[in-house]
Amino acid sequence: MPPPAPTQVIMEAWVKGVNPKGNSTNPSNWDFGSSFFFAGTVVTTIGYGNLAPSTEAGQVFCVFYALVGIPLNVVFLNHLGAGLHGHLATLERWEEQPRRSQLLQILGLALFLTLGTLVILIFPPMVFSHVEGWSFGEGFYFAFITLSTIGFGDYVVGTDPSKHYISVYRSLAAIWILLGLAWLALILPLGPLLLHRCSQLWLLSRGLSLKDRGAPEMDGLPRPQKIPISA
Amino acid sequence: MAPGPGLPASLALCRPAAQATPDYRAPKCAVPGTLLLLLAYLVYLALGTGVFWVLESPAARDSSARFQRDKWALLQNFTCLDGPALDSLIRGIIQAYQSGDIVLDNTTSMGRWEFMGSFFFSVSTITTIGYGNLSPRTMAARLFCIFFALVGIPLNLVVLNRLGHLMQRGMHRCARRLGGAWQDPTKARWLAGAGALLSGLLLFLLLPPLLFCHMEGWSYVESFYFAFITLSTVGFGDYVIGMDPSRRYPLWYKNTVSLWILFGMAWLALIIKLILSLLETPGRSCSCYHHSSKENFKSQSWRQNPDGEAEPHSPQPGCHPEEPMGIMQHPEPSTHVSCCGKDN
Repeated sequence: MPPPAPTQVIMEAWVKGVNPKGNSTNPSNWDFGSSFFFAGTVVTTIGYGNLAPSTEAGQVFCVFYALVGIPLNVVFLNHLGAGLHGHLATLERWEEQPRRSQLLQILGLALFLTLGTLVILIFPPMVFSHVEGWSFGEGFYFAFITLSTIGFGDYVVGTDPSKHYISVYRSLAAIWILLGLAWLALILPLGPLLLHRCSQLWLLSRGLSLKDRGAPEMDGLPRPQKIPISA
Repeated sequence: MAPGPGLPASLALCRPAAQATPDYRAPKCAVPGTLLLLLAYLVYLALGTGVFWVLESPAARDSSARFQRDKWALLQNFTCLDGPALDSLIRGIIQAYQSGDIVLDNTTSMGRWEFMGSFFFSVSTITTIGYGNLSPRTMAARLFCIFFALVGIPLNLVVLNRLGHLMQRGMHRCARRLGGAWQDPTKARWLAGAGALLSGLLLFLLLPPLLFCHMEGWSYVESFYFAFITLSTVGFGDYVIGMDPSRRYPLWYKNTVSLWILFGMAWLALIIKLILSLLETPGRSCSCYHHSSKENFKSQSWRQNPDGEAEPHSPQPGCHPEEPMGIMQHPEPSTHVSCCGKDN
C-alpha cells in the first residue's frame, strides 16, 4: 500500500491536535493542563477546537460531559454574579429619590462598568499580547472571541510550543475566562439599564413625565408602583 | 401558585411570598451556596480532565508517532529534501490551511471564502458556535467580525428566544388539549413535555446525523458528536459539514443545515432551561429564577397571558406558575438569570 501523501498526513495530524512543527520526542498534547483547559472550553461552550477528542469514546464522553457541564456552568456563572443584584434592588425606588442621588447612582454604575471593562477587556489582552507575541489588536480580538464564547481557536493562549510559559499561566488564563464570563453575565443587563436611566434623567430634566416611559425591556427590575407591565 | 398578597395579578412576577424586604437575599443564603457550587464546578472540571486525559492521550501519542515516522520516511526517501526545508513547508501548509486555502486540490478554485462559506461563517459567528476552521485573517475583517458579533449575538438570542417560546407554547397547547380530554392536567403536562423532548431528540439529534453520514462519509457516532457540539454552540471545528473538497454537495444542503442549526439550538436551549429549572427546584430559597435581559420584554408580555398555562410543575413558593421563557442558549450573555427575590 503506498504511503499516504505527506500533505494529507500533516493535515490529519494537525486536526488531531498533534503539532507537526514539533520535534521527535514530543509529549502528547493531552497532558494534564491541556486536558483541564479543554474541559473548561467544553463546559463554557467556547470550544476552541485546537484540541478535540479524536477517539470515539472521547467523543461520546464529550457529549454527555457537555450535557451536564453546560447547565452547571450556567448556574455557576449566575451565582458568581449574583452579588450585584442585591445592590441593584436599591435602584427600584429610583424615581422617588432626589436628583443628586440619582446622578450619583448613574455615575457609580458607569464607573463600575468602565472599571470592569478595563480590568477584563483591556489589561489582560495586553498581558497576552506581550507573552504570546501578538499585537494588541490580535490580543483584543482573542479576548472578544473568547469571552463571547465564539471561540474560533485561531488564537489560543498557552499553545505555542516554542515559548516557555510559567506553570500558572494557563490557570490564570482560565480564571480570567471565568471571571470575564461572570462579569459579562452581570453587565449585560446593566448596560441597557444605564442607558434607560440616562434617558429617564434627560426626560426628567426636560420636565417630561416618566409615566409614558415604562420601558418594559428593562428586564427583571420591576417597579411595583408603576404601571403593570402588560403585553 | 398565587403571588404574594396585595400584588395585582397582572404583575404576576416571581415574588417569593415570604420576602417583604428588597434585599432578602441575605448573605447566609448566597455565600455557602456559591462556595459549594464553585467546589462542584471544580470537581466537575477535574473529572473531565481526568477522563479526557486517559481517553485521548494514547491516541494522540500514536498519531504523533505515526506522523514523525512518516516525516522521517519522507526525508529518507527524498534525499534532496532536508529537515529545515521540510519544516518550513509544513509551516506553510498549516498556515495555508488556517487561512482557508484548499491545500489538497490542485485546481485553482475560489478558496473557501466564497458565498456559501462566508454565509456559514457568519452563521457560526452570531450563533457563537465559532467552528474556526475558517476565521478572518485580515485585521479589517476581524474588526468587522467583532462588531458583527456584538450586534448579531443579541439578535440571535432574541430570535432563538422567540422560537423557543413558540415551541413551548405549542407544547402547552398540546398539554391543555390532552388535559381536557383526560381531566388530568398534570399528567398531560408531563406527557406533553416528554413528547416534546422525544420528538425534538429525534428530529434534531438522532435523524440529522444520518444525513451527515451519507453526505460527509462520517460514522454515525462522529455525526452525532458533530450534531451535539454544533447545537450546544461549543463548535470545536474538528468536524464541519461541507468542507470536503472531493465531494459534491447539492445546493439545498447547507441551507437545510443552517435551518437545522437554528431550530435545533432553540430546542436544545429549551431543554437545558427545563433541566435547570428541575435542578433548581429542590428547596433553595434563592432558586426562583427568572430571566432578565432584553429577552424579558417578550417573556414578560407573554407571562401576563396565562391562558391555560395552568399549574406549576416546579413548586417554587410564590413563583409564577409559568417559567418565564428566557432563552439560555449559552452561559453569559443570554442566560441572565437572577434570583427573583433580589429583583423584587
